[in-house]
Amino acid sequence: MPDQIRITIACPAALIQDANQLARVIGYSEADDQTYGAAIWQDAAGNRYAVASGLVSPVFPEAAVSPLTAPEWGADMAAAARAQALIRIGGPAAPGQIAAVIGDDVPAALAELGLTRIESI
Amino acid sequence: MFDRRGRFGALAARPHGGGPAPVPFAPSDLFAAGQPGHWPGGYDPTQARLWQTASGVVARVTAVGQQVGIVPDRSQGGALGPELSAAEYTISTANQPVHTAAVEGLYRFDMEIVSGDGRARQQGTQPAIAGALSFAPSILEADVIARPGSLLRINTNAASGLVCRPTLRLIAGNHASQEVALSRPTLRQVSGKWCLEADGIDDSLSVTLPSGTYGRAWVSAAGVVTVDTVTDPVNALIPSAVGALQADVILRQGAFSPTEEAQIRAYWGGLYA
Repeated sequence: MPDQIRITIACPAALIQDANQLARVIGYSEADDQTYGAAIWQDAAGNRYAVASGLVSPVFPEAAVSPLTAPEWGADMAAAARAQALIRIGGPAAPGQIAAVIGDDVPAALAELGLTRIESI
Repeated sequence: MFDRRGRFGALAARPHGGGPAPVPFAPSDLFAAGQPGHWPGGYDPTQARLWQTASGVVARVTAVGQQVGIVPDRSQGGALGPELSAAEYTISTANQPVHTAAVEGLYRFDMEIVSGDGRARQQGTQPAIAGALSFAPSILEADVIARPGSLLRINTNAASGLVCRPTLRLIAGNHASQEVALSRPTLRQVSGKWCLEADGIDDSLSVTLPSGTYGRAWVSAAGVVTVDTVTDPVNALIPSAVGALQADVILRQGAFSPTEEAQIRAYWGGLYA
């Protein structure tokens, strides 16, 4: 098993606040509630998303769907639970879901998610 | 290998013929008048104390593929401030206070666990960060970011009798860091050149600098140098393309003069071309 795996996650614009609370819960510090920034990516239908990509522990996908435990630095657990219920592994991105693609190839992950950067922003 | 101004030792000035040879240029010369800026001097983990904090635990970056959460700045020579710790503690509590940070910065918090039963580690509270628990005898390295009010302490599971000798000193400079786990760049090595890889999505390295116009230069692992200016820079990871490779960067308040730009290009040309 590798030490780390890369995960690329598409978060619909309307779910950014909840998803950042989930990141605060399953992340490594309170700073992880800044994981999802501006919604500068869009799908073919023009729906907007924030995208985060990075290296995580191989157990991260399992941890992300396991029962949540409040971190020592606190979090909005209701918001985190709402976001957790919308996680789906694999693309494409969809407005009502938080889609995650596992794989080292970032362009391939974006292609699977069906997202392109909004160049005008 | 590097001297105080960032030159390779073998290149430092030495007598030549009838007089001293010209002193070779080093990027630290760009900061000689005290200008604020950021210059990591490359990302060779054997030369620079790079840190990963992927699991909330302080750990040195030592190998390709690891995330980089803290990049120290060498524009000010990496000078260490006054000692902030007592010379030795004989632990009688789970959390032995060492110092409460008055200023935000990067602190060198190394520690020798001399003797006694149980394990100990360095720990900071804002942000929450800790080293790995270790038994005596051991020597532990840690550079930790602390915000004002952060309690820097020794955390232990020993009830008494553990003897620890920490050293705690503020490291001068404008250090770059990334606290968000998924936004940290990755250490790579291409053709023997150490560099940071950006994922082109959200990777960045935050740096806090006084406002103003800055000269900005960065070199790719392939030796391509880009020089421009930027207003109020906040990111020390410049390229934004997927898989971009940054081998070094210089941010210096005030645009570079043509002479300075030529010196930068020549310096990096000798290292990365």
